Amino acid sequence: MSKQDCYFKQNGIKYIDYKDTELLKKFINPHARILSKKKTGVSAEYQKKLALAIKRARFMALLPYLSR
Amino acid sequence: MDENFNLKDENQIYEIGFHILPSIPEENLQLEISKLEDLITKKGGIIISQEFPKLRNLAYEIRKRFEIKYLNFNKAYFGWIKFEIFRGLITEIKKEIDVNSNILRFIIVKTVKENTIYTPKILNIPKSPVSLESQISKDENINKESSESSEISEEEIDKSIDELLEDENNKEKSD
Repeated sequence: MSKQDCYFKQNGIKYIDYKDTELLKKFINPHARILSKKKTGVSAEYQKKLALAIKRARFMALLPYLSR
Repeated sequence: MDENFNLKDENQIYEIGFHILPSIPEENLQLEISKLEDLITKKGGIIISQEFPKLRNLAYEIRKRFEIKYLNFNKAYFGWIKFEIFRGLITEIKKEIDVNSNILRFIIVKTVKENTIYTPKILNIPKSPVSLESQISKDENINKESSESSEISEEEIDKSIDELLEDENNKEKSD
């Protein structure tokens, strides 16, 4: 396994944009719930930013609150 | 408290993301945009970048009240404007957008000047011997320029796609 599992550190993403729904969709399950840090392997710092971005996208109806 | 006061004197980069009502004809969209732009520039803001509103499906129905009746929307024109302005003035902008009845919903976020939409170059590469080999070679080339590594990643993608196609072809043959 690589040393760094965090998707955002690996790809050098500093700011997670709520409009980038294709990126955010990778981190939600089929019920549209946010995946846990344990499952995503994202570092604590970026998991917080990720969760905020997903919640912003939900508010703007770019992502669903729930599906299925 | 003093710290908060000092912060208000500084500039901050903000972004407004907004949904314009789908009932507005497309030729009038520019008018709505220029309204927002005027609002920002009037307060001394500098527009950095923006995207023209595009009609898109919403993830869920949004309800908005018009005087006495409610209407549901499942489509809207979504656009955004990124700008720089004094921290103290953003609340005034928010109040003015609140009054604008042509905007279905909006959000104001603090952001950074750089482009924040990330389009992934490396797709989900299946864990195959090929990708492992190229990963090792990537590690060796760590000191080389990043442009080279992006080339490698493209090759990886091509290889992985080829493999997938081959797999599918094999399956079809076996069927």
